[in-house]
Amino acid sequence: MVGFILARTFRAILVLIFTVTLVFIVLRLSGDPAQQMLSDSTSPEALAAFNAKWGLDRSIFEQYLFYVANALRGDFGISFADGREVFTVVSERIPKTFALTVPAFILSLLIGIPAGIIAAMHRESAVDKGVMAGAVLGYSIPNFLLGLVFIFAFAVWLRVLPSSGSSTWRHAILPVATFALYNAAAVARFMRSTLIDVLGQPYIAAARADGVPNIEIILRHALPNAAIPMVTTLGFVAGGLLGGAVLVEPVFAWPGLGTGFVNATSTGDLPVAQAMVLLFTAFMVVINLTVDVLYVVLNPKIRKQ
Amino acid sequence: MTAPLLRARDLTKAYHHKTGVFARPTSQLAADSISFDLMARERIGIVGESGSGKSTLGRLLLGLTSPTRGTVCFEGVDHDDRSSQDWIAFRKRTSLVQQNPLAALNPQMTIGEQVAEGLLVHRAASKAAAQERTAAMLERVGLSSAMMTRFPHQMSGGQRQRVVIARALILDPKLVVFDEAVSALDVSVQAQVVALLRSLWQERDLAYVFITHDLRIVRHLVDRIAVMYLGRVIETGDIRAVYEQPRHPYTRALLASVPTIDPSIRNIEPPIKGELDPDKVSQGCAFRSRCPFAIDRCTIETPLLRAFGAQRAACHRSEEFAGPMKPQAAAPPRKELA
Repeated sequence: MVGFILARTFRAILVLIFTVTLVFIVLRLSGDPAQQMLSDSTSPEALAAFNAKWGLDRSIFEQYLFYVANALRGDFGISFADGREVFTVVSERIPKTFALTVPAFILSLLIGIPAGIIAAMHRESAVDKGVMAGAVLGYSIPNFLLGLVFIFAFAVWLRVLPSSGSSTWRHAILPVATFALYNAAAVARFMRSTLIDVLGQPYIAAARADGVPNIEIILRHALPNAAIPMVTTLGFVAGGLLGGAVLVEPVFAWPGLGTGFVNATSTGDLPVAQAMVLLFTAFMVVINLTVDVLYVVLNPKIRKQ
Repeated sequence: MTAPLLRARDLTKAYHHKTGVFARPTSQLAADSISFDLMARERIGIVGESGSGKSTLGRLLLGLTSPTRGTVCFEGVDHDDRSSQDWIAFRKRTSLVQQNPLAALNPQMTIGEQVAEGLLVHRAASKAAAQERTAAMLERVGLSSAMMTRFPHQMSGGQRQRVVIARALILDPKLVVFDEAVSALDVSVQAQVVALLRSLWQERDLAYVFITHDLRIVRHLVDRIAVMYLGRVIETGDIRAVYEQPRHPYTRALLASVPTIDPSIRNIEPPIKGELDPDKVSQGCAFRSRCPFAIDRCTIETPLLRAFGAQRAACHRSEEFAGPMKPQAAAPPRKELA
C-alpha cells in the first residue's frame, strides 16, 4: 500500500515536470508577448526593451532553465500586465474558485447520487425516465449557456439575484447552481448506470434469493461495489469543475482562477497563464492521486494483498 | 398421497425485445407451458443447451422473475397470493446456487459475513450463534472456519463454490435451485462438489432442482430429469428410464454427445446440426429443423408430451425409439462418485 502510494506520487511529479515543459514551449510558440502587451505603434526600441526586461531576448532553453530554477524556489515571476508577483496574483484567486467549486461539488453529489440511486431502483419506470430526462437535459446544455439562462431568469427577469461580481454570498448562488446542476446530471447518469450494472450481478440475485430486504441489498451489497467505479467518475467530475471554471466564471465576472486564466491568455500575460496551468495540473494530479488511494481503500482485492 | 412441495403449472415466460426503433417488438418464449411437481426430498434435473430456458425456469420457480402465464405453488401457497411476509418466509425456506461462484459472492464482504447473512436477515440466530453456525456450516462443506475472515478473491474456485453452497444451506432450506452449480469448476473439483451435494442431501430434508447442460454430472445427482428445448420440456421422467431408453431424438443426441474415453463404444446416433433457432417455432415441432428423423407431420403438428412407462416425451416418432441407445448411456452411475 505504501509502495503503491509512493509509486503514484513519483508518477505525479513526472506529470508535473512534463506539463511545465510542454506549457512553457507552447505558450512561447503561440505569439510574441511584446506585441500582445504593447500597442501596434510601439517603436522597435521599446519592443526590444520590453523583451530585454523580461528576458524574452534569450534562447528558449535559457528562459526555460531560469523559469524552472525560479519556480522551484517558489518564484513564478512577475505579471507582465500589472508588475505584481505572479504568486500573489494567482494565490488570491484560489479561494474565490474554491468558494464556487467546493460547494458545487458537494451539491452535485447530494443531488446526483440519490437521483441516480432512485432511478436505478425504479428502472424503466416513470420516475427513472423523468430523472434521466432531467439529467440528459442538464448534461446537454453547455454550462456557460446554462449560466446565461440563469442570469436572464434570476437577475434580469425576476431580479432576485445579482448577475455578476463576488462581494456577497448571494453572488455565488447562480454560478454554484450552474456548476452543480451540470455536474449533478453527470453524477446521476453514472450513478444510475453503475448501480444497474451492480444490481445485475449474480451476488445480488443470491442476496435476493436469500431474502435480504431491498434496502439492505442497496446499502450493504450494491453501493459498496458501485463505489469503486463511482470514485473514478467523481475524480473526473472534480477535475471538470476546475476546467469548467474557465467557462463559467467569466460569465458571472467571478474573480477566480478561471476568469484570471482567460484574462492572462488573452492579454499574453505569460507568467500568470503559465503558473495557472501549472496549478490546474497540480489540482488534477492531486485529484487523481486521491482517486487512486480511495480505490485501494475501497477495494479489498488490492487492500488485503 | 401427500401434496407436492413445489408445483409448477403451465409456466410460461416471454421476453420481448425490439431490434430497432421502428421494428415490431418480437417476443421469445424462454419457458413455454412447463408443468411439474416436486415432492419433498425429491431431486429433479433440468437439462438443455444454452438458450433452452432452463435458467429462466429456475428464476421463475424462486419467484425472482414473474411468469407471463402460469403459476408456481410452494408448500400450498401460490406465488401470486404471497404477501410480503409470505415472501420472506419463502426466501427462508428456499435458496439459489449459481454457476460462477466468484460472481455469486459479493467481492466486498467477507466469507463469514456472506454465509451468516441469511441467519441474521431472518433473525434465525443471534450474532454469536450465527458465528458458530457459520463456522460449523463451513466445516461441513469442507472448509476451515478460519476462512470466515477471507474475501472471495482469496479462495480457489472449488472453495468459493463450497462457500456458495454453505450460504445456500445455512437456513436449512426445503428447496434449492442449483443453476449450473458445478459447470464452472475443474473436473476434479466437480467430482468433489458432486460428492458433497450427495452427502448433504442424504442428511437433510432437502429437495432440489439441478439445472445443467452436463449430462454426465446430472445422473449422479437426481431422481428425475426434464430435458428442455427452446423453452419446452420435450422429455421427462425417471433418470434411469430416460438414460436407458431416450424417447426423443434430441435427448438421444444429447446423450450421444456425452464424451466417452472407451474406444470400443462408438457413437451410433446421427448428429444434430446447427444451433438453437428461436425464430422457427411458430408451428410444428421446434426441433424439426435440426432433427435427423423429421417427417412432414413435424412441420404441421406440435408434438405434446406422451407417456411411455416411467417417462414422457414430446415426439411424433417416440414409439420408434424402442431399444436402449448405446451401452455406456445405459450403465449405472459410477460407484466412486457415490
